[in-house]
Amino acid sequence: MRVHQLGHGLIPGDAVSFHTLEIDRRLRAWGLEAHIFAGHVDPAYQALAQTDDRFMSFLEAPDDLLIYHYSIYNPNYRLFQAARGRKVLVYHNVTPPRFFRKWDRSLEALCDAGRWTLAALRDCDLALGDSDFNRRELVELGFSPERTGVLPIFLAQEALEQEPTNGPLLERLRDSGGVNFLSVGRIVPNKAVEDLIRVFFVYHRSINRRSHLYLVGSRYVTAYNQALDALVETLDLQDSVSFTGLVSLTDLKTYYQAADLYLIASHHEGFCVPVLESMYFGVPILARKAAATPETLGDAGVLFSRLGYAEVAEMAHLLLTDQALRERVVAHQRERLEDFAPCRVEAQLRELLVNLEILAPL
Amino acid sequence: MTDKDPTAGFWVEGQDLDTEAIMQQIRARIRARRAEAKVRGLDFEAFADGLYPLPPHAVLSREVYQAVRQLGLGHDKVSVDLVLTETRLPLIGGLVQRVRAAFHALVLFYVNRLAAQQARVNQQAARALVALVRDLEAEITDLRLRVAELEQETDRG
Repeated sequence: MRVHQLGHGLIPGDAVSFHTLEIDRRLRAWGLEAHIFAGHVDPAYQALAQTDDRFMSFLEAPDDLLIYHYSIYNPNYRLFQAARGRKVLVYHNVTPPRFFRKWDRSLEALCDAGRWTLAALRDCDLALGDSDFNRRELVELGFSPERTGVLPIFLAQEALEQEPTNGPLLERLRDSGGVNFLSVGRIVPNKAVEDLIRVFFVYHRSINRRSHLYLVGSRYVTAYNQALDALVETLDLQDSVSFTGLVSLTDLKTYYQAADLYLIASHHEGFCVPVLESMYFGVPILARKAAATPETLGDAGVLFSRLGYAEVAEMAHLLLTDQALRERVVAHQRERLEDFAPCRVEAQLRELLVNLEILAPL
Repeated sequence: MTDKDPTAGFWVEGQDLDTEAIMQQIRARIRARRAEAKVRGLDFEAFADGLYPLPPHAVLSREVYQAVRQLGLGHDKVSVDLVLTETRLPLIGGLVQRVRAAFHALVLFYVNRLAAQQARVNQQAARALVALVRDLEAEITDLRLRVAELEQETDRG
């Protein structure tokens, strides 16, 4: 039995790419013939995957299974439509275009195309969201509810365990002896990075001067970047707010190890992998109650509704200084992380494949 | 400053959290910080809104004070450092690098002399702007007082 996975790209440090590779590893372990195809294959993964044009030779195979990872518009959706075998769509969410309207019209158009195309992928055997939030979006777009499901993303737990720490970076991050706020993710408008900066500003200026905000993630929305840089300058936070850009897994692990608080103000998340990473590293999470973030958190972490900068800053202060509260929150986070243990996600994946008669029941 | 509940609408949630007690703590802390800011003549509302605070008795817009402040902080940041890429030429690489370094240092010497002059000009401009803002503040305050007096006279008459 052959199972193919198709996606936009296979890139180091990308959660969807990691998820794809983890699925591939399990498919092979279960004795299936597995292939990965993507629009863009990073040189680091060339031994593991092929470019999507190579999938053409499998288009007509009626017994094959194609798993399509959908996270952004890519013309290779036509391959998914044209495939004659069984088909599973895995929806990782596409950011609603309205978030980019003010900042980048081409990204707005790309997201618009992404959402519009998604509706044209309904002809499949199963459509999965990596959260129920994503699954519900599929149903709203007309996917048949009984042919939808949820498969959470594999957390790179093993990779994070094995990855070394960047010693000099860790020393530098802890050098000040102050408090480190962390937020990880692309620097894009739906993440409301301006709110993170303003919350941090209140904390830094009126509660604790010995504090630093680290914003880890790629920056590619030029106008938004300029607005954030101007905000940092206006608030005189140049020495206390750092945009690190995209970092290696070693450095990412180091930032988590040095973090005292994880802060999210995002308006839109389809799953929010950094929440799981924060749970793994025992960093208390303070998050806006929006989109899929509350679902991924379960009953762990602390959620806030109706943003008030001073109020969130005070809540952050409580999480940083009230030891009992902090320990309780971190303990709940660790419990919640168990729900996303790789063995559990693996079992869910296996069950889905059994239902599709790709695998025999154990 | 307002007397309205600063945490109206804001709410926290979490398993086993005594959210009511936490909200009370947050409210009390914000009240204390507001009172402390009032005593020190600080603009707490600006902090609470994530904005740069205005100086006490400000009469001009926030943008004016921010721009003047940025000018004050950055007026002398015009010097240039030596940036020299490595040369990979075999054998003569070291010599080429020393000649390039000497040449770059010479250029930097003159550039930084120019930058020093520019910094002095910037400093004068910043001083002029600060003086202008102070004069404007004084004049606006006087005029407001005068308008208030005239309004009182009109009301009495």
